[in-house]
This record gives sequence, C-alpha cells and structure tokens, in this order.
Amino acid sequence: MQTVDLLVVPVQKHSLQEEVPIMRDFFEVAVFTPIRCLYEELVLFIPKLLGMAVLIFLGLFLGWIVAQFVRRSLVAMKFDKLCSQVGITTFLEKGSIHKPTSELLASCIYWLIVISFFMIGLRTLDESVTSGVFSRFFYFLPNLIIALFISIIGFIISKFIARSVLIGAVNAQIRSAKLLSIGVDVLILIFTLSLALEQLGIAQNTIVAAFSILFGGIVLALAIAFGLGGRQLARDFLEQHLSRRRQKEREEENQFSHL
Amino acid sequence: MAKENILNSAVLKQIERIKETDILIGIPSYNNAHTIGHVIRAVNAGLVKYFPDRRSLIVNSDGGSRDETTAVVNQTEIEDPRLIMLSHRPNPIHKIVTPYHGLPGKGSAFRTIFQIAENLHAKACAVVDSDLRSITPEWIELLIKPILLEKFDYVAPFYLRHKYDGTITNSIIYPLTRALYGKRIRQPIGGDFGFSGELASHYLTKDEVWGTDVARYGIDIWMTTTAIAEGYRVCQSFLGAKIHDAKDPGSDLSAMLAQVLGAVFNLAEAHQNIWFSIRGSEPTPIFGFRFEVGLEPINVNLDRMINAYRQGIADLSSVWKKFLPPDILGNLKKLVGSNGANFCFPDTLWVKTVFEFLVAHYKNKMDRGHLIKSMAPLYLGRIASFVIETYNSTAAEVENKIELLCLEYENLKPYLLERWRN
Repeated sequence: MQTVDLLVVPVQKHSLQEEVPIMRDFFEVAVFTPIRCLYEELVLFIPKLLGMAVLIFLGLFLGWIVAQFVRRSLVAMKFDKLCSQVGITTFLEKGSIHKPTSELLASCIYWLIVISFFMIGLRTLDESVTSGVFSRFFYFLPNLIIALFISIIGFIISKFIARSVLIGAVNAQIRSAKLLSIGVDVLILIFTLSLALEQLGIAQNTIVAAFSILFGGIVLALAIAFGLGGRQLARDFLEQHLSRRRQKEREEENQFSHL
Repeated sequence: MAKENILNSAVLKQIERIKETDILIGIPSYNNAHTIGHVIRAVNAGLVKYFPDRRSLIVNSDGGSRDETTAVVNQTEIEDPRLIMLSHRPNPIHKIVTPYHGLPGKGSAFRTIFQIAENLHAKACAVVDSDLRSITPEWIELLIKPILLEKFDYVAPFYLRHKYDGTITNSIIYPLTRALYGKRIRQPIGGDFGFSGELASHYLTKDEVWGTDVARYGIDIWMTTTAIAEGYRVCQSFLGAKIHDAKDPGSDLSAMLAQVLGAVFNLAEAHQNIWFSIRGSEPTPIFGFRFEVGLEPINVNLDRMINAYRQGIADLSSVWKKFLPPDILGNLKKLVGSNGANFCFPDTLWVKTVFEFLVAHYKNKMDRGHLIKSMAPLYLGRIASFVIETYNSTAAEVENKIELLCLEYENLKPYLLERWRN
C-alpha cells in the first residue's frame, strides 16, 4: 500500500511591527549605503582634490618664481643681445614673434612647470584611473612636443618664404604677386600640418592621401596650364629637338655606312 | 686669432721680389676685356707722367673672368710715350694679376688690393673701376697727389654725371651720409678712390666685414664712411665726367639697393655714438680744375617706375605697416592717386620714409634683407618723381634740387634721433 507524506507549511502572517525593519533594510540598501559610500568617497576624494588644487597653485606659483628668476638672470646676462647677434631674434621675427628671447624662454619654463604640476595633481585624484592617463600623457608628450616644434618651425618658414616671394615678385613687377605669395604660404602650411598630424599619429593615411591628392592636383594644374599656355612653345621645342635628333641619327647612319 | 692669408703663393713670390712700392693702383675686374685695356693704359700713362721717380705697381684683382681680361692686363703697355708728352721710353711698371679670395664681389677684390698694399708698404694707393670709358692719366694724379703731397688719407671722387645717373647716390647715399656724419662727400660710392697705405692697413683690421655686403657692392660706402667716422683726413678730387655702362635706374636694382643700403644701415648702427652729436654739415676740400663736360643721355622708363610704385603700395603695404607710422604710410598711399605728370613724391615724405627704414633696420623690426628689398618700389617712385620734376632742368638746377634734399635730411635729423631712441 502506498503511503503519502503530507507536508504542512505554516502560513506566516506579517504584522505591522514586522514590516518596519524590512523598509529600513530597503532604505539602508537603496539610499543610505550609497550616500554613505559617496560620503566615504567624498571624504577620501576631497583631500585629494584639495591636494590637486594645492599642487596646481604650487605649480603656478613655482612656475612664476622660476620664470621670473630665469628672465631676470637672462636679462642680466644680456642674453637678448646675444640672441640678436647670433640671429635668433631675427629668426623669430621672421615668424612675427616680437617678444624678447629671454621672455620666451621664461614663458616656456613657466608652462613646463605648470603642466608638470597639473599632471602630478591629476595623479593624486585616483591613481588607478589617472595612472593610465598619466602614462599615456607622458608617452604622448614627446610626439606632442615634436608636432608643436614642427608646426612652429613650419609656420615661421612659411611666413618667411611667403614674404620673400611677395617682395621678389613685386620687385619683378609680377602682377599676381600677392596671390603667388599666399599660394606659397598655404602650400607650406598644409605640408607642415600634414607632417605634424603624422607625428601625432592622427589619421596618418588620410592626411598623406589628402596631401598627395592636393599636391598632385596643383602640379597637374600647373602642367595643364603650362601645356595650354605654352602649346606652341612646346611644339616648337619638340620639333626642333626631334629634327636635331633625326639629323644626328642620319649622320650616324651615314658614318656607319662609310665604315 | 691667426690672420687669414688671402694671397696665393705666386703673388707672395712677386711681393718678395718687388719688396716695396710707393704707389699702388688697384683695378678690380670681372669680364671687362673690352674696357680694361683703356683703363690700364690711362693708369700707366698717369704713373709715368706724374710720378716718374716713384716706384709704382698696378694690381688687377680679378673675379675669375671667363674672357680675355687678365691677358689684356698683362699685354697692355703704353703704345707711344709721345702721345702723353714723354720724350723718353718709361721704365715698365710692375703688375700683379691675381684672382681674389672670398665672396664674389668688388669688396673681396679690394681686400686683396689692401693686403698687397700692406705687404709692400705702399705710401699711396688708388682704386679705379675697370669699366670706365672716361678715365684719363690725370685721374691718377688727382687721386694720388693729395695723399703724397697734402697728407690726406682718403680722396673721394667728384664727377660730373648725367642728372639721372647715380640715382641711389643722389637720393639716399649722399644726403644720408652727409646728414649723419656731417661731411659733404658728393660721391661717397663713386668707385674710384685714393687712400693712404695706413688707411689700407686699417681697413684690413676689420675682419668681421668681409663676409657681409661690404664684400660686394657695399665696399665703396664702407670705405668712405670708415674714413669719415674714424677721423681720417678726407678730401675730394674733381675728375670730370664719369662715363661707364650706365643703367636705367629702374633696371637691375633690387640686389644693388639691398647691398648698398644694407652696408649704409649697418654702418649707421655701428657708428651711432659718433653721428648722434653731429648737426649740420661742412664742406670737404676739392682738388682739381673744374670744367663743364658733355654727358651721354640716359633713357628712363617713367611708366615702369610709377607702375612699380603703385604695385608696391598695393601689395607691400601689409609689410610696411609693421614699421611705418600710419601717417607716413597714409601719405605714401595718397600718391597712387596722382597721374603720370602730376606724380610728386615730396622731399619731406621721402626723407622720413628713409629714416623710418633705417630705424626699423636698427630695431630689427623684420628680416633686414626683406626690409631693404621692400624699399625698391618706394625708391622707384621717388626717382620717377625726381625725373618728372627735373625733366627740363639744367645740371645746375638739378644740383640745387639735390642740395635742398640734403638740407631736408639735415633738418629732419632730430626726427631720426627721436625715432632711433624711442
């Protein structure tokens, strides 16, 4: 004979007194714990933020002090005169930079100190998050400096050459002197920009392709313009050249036959 | 620092053989086979006629001529002494023909001449251009005698020139040199000079200049300015007409202007402590008998010069506005509106413009080469105005006009000083 076990489960009945701790748990989990966590994180974060702010202010202050010291020392050593004598001032002026060299150098040192302190300050916020940014920044920094250097040199050279072209063309009384000068300026700037972007690793292939297309297009346009404008000249040149060549070939043939 | 040897061994051997000379005449050349024969004959004749008892030497410092220049120099002698009233056949005069060392240009050729003069302890020297067609034996007398007999150190030439010849001299170099240094040297970049052996040695001490524009067209103004500014005794000799290969003032200009003005502006900077205190100017003694001569006409393309000025204003105003005060730039722009015959570039505006370029050069407002080359259209505008104003003028009237311009430079010198110092 088959037997059946009967399981009797007692029905729990919650009273109002029993429901209060449940709500408390809910608020504890949903509200208080996050707030507490936030508070704890804030307690941890605010000193770091303050630390960062202190570091940035320290960087600004130290940068200013060091820059002032460097500038005054350079002025005392007559560094500007030396730069003028060796042609550095003239070189900078070619790029329309009219500040004294001592001031420029002091500014560079100031910004280097400020940026370094800013990066150190960032690291105090959260090492795990910022260490990646920190390492990437210092990994990227040399490329950024080189790209900046290329851009500055390219800018100076473009302005100098454009002005040379302008003055030379005006003195030669070429009517479109200004257009020629702007063209040279733009071409050198595009070339510089492509070099700088390539250094930064930004859209390398696109930049190279764009530059090649642009440069190739300009050369092609010039070739077509010359071809159309100088068609007669080109034909005369080719006719003369070929007839001379044919004559030479005939002479060589004659000489050969004599032999 | 060891002194640079600029003479080759063949020249040093010749110097060893000659040992000493009283008079040295230097002739720089480059592809002048057609004219240098006449110059050598005139120099030879001048030496044997006026200095028969002096030891003399002719030095041809050549820039690597590809024609027969050096052969002509070696072969040229006085054909017939009676032509210059000599009853005896003169002794041959020593000649040294040598290529020069350094940057290609007249200045490097002169440096070689100075060095030979120093090595041979020359008492008096002269240099004459190799493209001259109007040189006579008397030029040698007039350039050398003030040195030997009157103890002057530097003899500048005084020529009669066509009113449109020497436009850079008349509009900038003469008035500016006169206003700055207070000496009236009418042809400071004439090209034919006399100087003492002592001054030649002094020129050689300035090692720093031989890599600059002084090695090229800048040599003439450098020699004159150095002599004036450093207190040497300076005079002038009247040589008559200067006839050479004249240039249209509007052609072959940019490089020449850059070299000459570059040298003038650099000299003004180097000697600022000397000219700051000088006011007005004083005449310089002139030797030689003054006479009138007929001058070859020079064609000038007026339209081309005015067009160059107009294009300069249209295209280069953006360059000039970096250093020209707005009122001057504004006045320069106003001239564009006047048509051909009414085109007039006033003296005051011109002088202030030159002074502003000089100050901008001193203060390094932009690349100095660009600065000076950008002046060419303004210069052409000024010359066009001068040609229009003096079209029917006599030589004397033109000279008066140049004198008025010089006085304007002198009167505006306080303006220059103020701009220079601020």
